[in-house]
Amino acid sequence: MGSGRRHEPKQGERGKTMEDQNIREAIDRHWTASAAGDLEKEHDIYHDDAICDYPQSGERICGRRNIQELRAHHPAKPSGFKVRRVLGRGDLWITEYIITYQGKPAFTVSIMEFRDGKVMHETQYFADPFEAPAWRARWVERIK
Amino acid sequence: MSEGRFAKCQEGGSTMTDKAAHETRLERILGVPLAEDAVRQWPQSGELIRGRARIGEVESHFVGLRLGVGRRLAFGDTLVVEWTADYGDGRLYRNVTIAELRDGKAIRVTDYWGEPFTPPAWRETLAEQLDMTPAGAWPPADALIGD
Repeated sequence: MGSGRRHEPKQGERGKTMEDQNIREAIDRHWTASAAGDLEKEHDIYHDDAICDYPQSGERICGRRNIQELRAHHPAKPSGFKVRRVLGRGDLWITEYIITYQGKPAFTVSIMEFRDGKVMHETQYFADPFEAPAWRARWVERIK
Repeated sequence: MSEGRFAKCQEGGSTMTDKAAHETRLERILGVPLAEDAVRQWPQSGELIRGRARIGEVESHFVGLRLGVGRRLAFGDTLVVEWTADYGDGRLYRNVTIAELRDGKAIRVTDYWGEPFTPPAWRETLAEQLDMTPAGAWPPADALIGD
């Protein structure tokens, strides 16, 4: 303990299994398809009876087809899509990303619970950017 | 929910730890201590708070909160907490906090503030009501506790 070594947790460093690798690749494909506006490919990752929850609005979407239909409502392709980080292991994965529609970015978090290599439950959080308030400037550093 | 082979998950109304155990609100939410040199990041505003002391200082400016921890998910050196906050006006923020741990202490914490929004009418037929029970991942207002 306390070796003084800087610990930089790397995705998939310890305990990475073939299963983890497969899921990670599926997740990467999912986000690539999402960014490209390819709805079919984007939703391949879901079980047919998958559930997607939006806690902020109290909505639950049941079924891959409904989830896909909901997402089809947006314009075909986001104007920006940036995956910030993917963390996970086994059946639990979380992605932080920024999706931009018509110039408006949303910081989004997707928590995915897998079963047999596909998502059975996703929870999504959508967080808007906001201006750093002046009152705390003296205790805060700016990052981007 | 998965068996817990890879992920420890405390479903259903995980509780905040109390003030005797953890001095800062963030530690009570996480259920683990902060390293003294921990950093806390808020991507939405591009802010970073460096060190446990400053984290506590900034936090102390928010009073009269009512909070409820819903779910804590742990795997490897990562801890994810889904929690709910009423900052005083009765609106329930559904927040998610991701902590990176080293030797059981949080060294880097990222928070996302999930402001409530009204479900758009166009998707009424596609969505059902998310059941938000006190024991679930998103406690209702009367299940929150002052912190």
